[in-house]
Parts: sequence; structure tokens; C-alpha cells
Amino acid sequence: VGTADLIAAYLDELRAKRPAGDLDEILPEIEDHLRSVAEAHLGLGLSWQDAQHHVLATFGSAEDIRRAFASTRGKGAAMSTPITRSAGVIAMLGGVLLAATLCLAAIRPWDLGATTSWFGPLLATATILVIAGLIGVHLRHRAVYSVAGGTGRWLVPAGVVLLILGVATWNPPSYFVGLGLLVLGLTLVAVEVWRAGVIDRRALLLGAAGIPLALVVPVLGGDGWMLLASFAGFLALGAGLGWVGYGLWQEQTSNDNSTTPVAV
Amino acid sequence: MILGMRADILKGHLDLLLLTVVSEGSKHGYAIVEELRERSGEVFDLPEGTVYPALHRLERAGLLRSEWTTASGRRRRVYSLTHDGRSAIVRRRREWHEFSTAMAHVMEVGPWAQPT
Repeated sequence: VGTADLIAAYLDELRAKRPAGDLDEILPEIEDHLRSVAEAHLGLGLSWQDAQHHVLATFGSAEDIRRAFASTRGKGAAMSTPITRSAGVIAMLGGVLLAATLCLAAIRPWDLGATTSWFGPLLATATILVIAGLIGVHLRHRAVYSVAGGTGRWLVPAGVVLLILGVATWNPPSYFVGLGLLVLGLTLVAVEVWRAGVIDRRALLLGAAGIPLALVVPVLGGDGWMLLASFAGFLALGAGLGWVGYGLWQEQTSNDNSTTPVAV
Repeated sequence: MILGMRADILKGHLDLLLLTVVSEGSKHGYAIVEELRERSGEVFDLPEGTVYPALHRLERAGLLRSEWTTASGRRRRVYSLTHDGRSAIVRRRREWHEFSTAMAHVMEVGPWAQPT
């Protein structure tokens, strides 16, 4: 066996290129492949150096492999599952219900204080549906998260816990820190979803545009154009969420036609 | 990268090929590449490294599952077909049959048609 470990050098080069995916999964698998083939060549009489050269030549360069893994990111990558597709349907329902509930609440604000108000149960149901849909969005994209997305995915639950604790214990600092973490985490994850390009970016823009508009009346109060702005915001938010859900759901069709390029 | 067949022809069918090979028994990546090469009469001579992104993608899609074993003192990832993967093969084979039949019908007319 020769002294130069070309396979180890190749793996170092590939590691440095950070191919999309979990390196702890990718590198051992590739190493097993390369060393198995090299050992087979060694058994056929090649020197260890020649065996390594041969296997590396047929495997593809580190840049080839990085690009091949990158090609499985984003649109066309078959990463949807029955769970994410179901979450898409749930998100569609959640988006519609959320928009309808908020619009109704804007039209009939006097109902909100009634002891038998429909608002609480409807809003809770819509929120649960939307959260389930967003979990589906996360599951669909988690394989392509960068460090930012990986951080965001943990900030969201941490923020929710602090938010709930803040409300339950009347602790404003906990509430505001939780809210901040939640917003930051959602933003980081949203950036990853945007970058992945799996879901139509217009859906993300629509939903995001709806948030500030929707907050006009709750924050500033008022009626007239403010009420109209909030209405538009509710509808945009609901439509954006529904569109995101549609994007998750309809992937079944596009996945059936997806491929990984074999020419690298 | 040299291929035994034009890459763009093979491109659209890689998933079906991989699923079919794995459907006949659990295999690791290199065994899958070798099986494809041998059974195609060395026509499907894939750049070996490009098979792994496809396998990972199929696993994320729920069509394959994998588990780590140990072989020759090294960790080895072995792939097997899921229930969804089996359904996908049935569907994609049907699509392939329809496509290849239609292609044959079109191509059998003209001076380039193979003599029967």
C-alpha cells in the first residue's frame, strides 16, 4: 500500500466544498465507495496509487459531486413526502379559515367580547391548521437548511415557549423576548424557504406583504381606509398561506418528473 | 465525464432505474452502480458519484430508506425500497411503457426504421 492517501485528500477537498446535505452522512458513504472500489482494483493487481487514481477518475471531481448534490436542492428536487403534501392541504385550509375569521372579526368587532363568541374557537382552529402547515414547510426544506435555517428552526419553538410563559405568568420580558425569538426564527426559516425556491416565491411575497397590512387596525385602530387595508392584509396573508400550502400539495406531480442530472 | 450513453437520454429515467435495482434487494451505492452497469451491458456507465445525490433525494422523497451497517471495518449505507417506492415503480414503469411504445410507433416509420 502506497503512502499517499489520495482518497483522504479527495474527501478533505469535498468536505471543504460543503456539498448540500449532511456531511456526516455523505462523506462516510463516499469513503466506503471509494475504498471498496480501490481495494477491488488492488485485488486485480493495480498498485494502491493507481487503484486510487482509477477510482477517483471514475467517481467525479469534488466540484462535480458538490454540483450534483446542489442540483437536488430547490425546485424539482423530489423531497416531498405524503406528510408534507398533507401539510399542504392543511395549510390551504388554515389560510382560508384564518383570512375568513379575521375578516369576520373586522366586520363584527362587537362579537369579539361576547361570551359565546365564535372568534376564539375559529381563530384557534385556524392557528392550529396554519402551524401544522408551517411544520410541513419546515419538513420539506429542512434538508437544505444552512446554519441560519438550522438556527431559526430552534429559535421558533424557544420563542413560542417563552411567549406562552410570558402570557401565563404575566411576565412582559419573557413575552417580548419570546416574541422576538419567534419573529427572528420565522424570518431565518423564511429566508431558507425563499432561497430553496421550492414554493412559488410570489406566495411567500403575498403572505409577507399581508402581515404589515393586517396589523393596521389591530395596532392603529380606526376604520375607513385602515379597515380596508387590514382587510386586504388578512386576505393577502390567508391567500399567501393557502398558496404555500398549494405549493406543498401539488409537488406530487412535479416530483414524478424530477431527475437528478447524471452529467456532471 | 464520459458516459456510455448520452447523459440527457438517461437523465429522465435515473429514478426508475435506481428504484428498480433496489427493489430486488437491499444494496449499497457501489453495488447499485455496478448492477446498473452490468445489467445494461455497460451502456449505463454512470459517473459513480452522481448516484448518491439521487439516492439521497429518493430517500428524502420517502421512496427509499437506508440504514448503516459495518463492512470491512467501515460504515456502509444500505438502501432498500419503501412501500411508497414500490408504488412509484409501478407507476413509473407504466409511464415508461407508454412512452417507449409511443416512441417505437413513431420511429418504426421511415428509412431509419430497423428492418424486421
